Amino acid sequence: MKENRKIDAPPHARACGLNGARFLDDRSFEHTLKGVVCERNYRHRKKGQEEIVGFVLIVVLIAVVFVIFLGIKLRNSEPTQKESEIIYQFLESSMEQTTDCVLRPNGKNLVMNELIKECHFTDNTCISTKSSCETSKDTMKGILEATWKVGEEYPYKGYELNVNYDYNSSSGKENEKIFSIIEGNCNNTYIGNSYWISAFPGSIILEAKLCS
Amino acid sequence: MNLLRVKYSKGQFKIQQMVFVLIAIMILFGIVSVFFVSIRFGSLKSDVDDLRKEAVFTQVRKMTGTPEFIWISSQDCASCVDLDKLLLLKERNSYKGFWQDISLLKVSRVYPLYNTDECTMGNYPECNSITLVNEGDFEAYESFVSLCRFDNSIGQSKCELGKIIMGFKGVK
Repeated sequence: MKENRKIDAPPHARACGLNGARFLDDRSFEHTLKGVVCERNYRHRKKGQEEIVGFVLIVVLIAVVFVIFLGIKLRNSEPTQKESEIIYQFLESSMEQTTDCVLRPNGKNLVMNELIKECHFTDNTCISTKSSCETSKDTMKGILEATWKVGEEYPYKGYELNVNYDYNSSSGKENEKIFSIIEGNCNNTYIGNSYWISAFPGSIILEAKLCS
Repeated sequence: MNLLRVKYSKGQFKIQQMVFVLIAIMILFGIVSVFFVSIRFGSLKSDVDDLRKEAVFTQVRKMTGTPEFIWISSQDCASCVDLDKLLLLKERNSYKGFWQDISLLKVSRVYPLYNTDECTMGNYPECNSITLVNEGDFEAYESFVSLCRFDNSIGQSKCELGKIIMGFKGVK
């Protein structure tokens, strides 16, 4: 027994059976004592394992909660839609564009906002035999193509322009589509803005989106 | 050599164990929080940059309201620039050095485009841009404007979509 005390494990650890094989392999050690130590060792190891399992469970639980939270957050993430000053400036300036449409001989060339109004209210034909709606759409298409290069190889993937006429009626707010131009791919991430043209009794609303 | 032997009780070991577990959980929560915060505020810097740029675009456009640029017509047009006036201004030596701290001041046509780039008295109006100042080394900002002039061929004023481009030294 004294021989066994010489081993390098501290006495209290030896009593708990943590000194490993050297202590237990001692042939002079009594069988019953060996059994007690083995039992203690087993119980202690089991307790340690339970604590590790508990800790792992906590970590797994937190990880699962985090993953669920992240999943919900990403699924419900709001699409990036920013109001852009540059789009507003573009719409405002393009509405001053002088078009090729002249409605009668020696008449004046209509500017874009007049042409859109003409398109919506009368759809008269220009001297060039094109209708005012056709001319306004074609001119706007030309302006958009010259201004924004879109496609997979460009920073902007697409654009969308919707021109509508909004007015109040007895049944509430009404909306009539004048024309729309769509180019490339537009998803929920875009910069955009709208421009308002007074057209009694309602107003013409231009909404432009530039998708990235 | 006498070493001080400290005997730890089982309870103390348990407390120590619990402390380690708590520290581990705190570190875990800390990492998760840092991760979440970095995702949440990652776009903040770009948002601030965008807002600053928008403010600069507005300032650049205000140039169209100065007497040297403004287009006077019967219709109210806040974004219209007098292209004829700018061509004459380009040729005037008295305006050299007039726009201080501006390294680039240029207007260019967006639609429709012509084959010739820089406007001169010879090729005007079938040209795309008028450069008033170009001293190099700048960071440029541009805003959309309407470039207006009197067109003899149609006997009325004609406005086309263009840009005003301003470059500033040392703006980052």
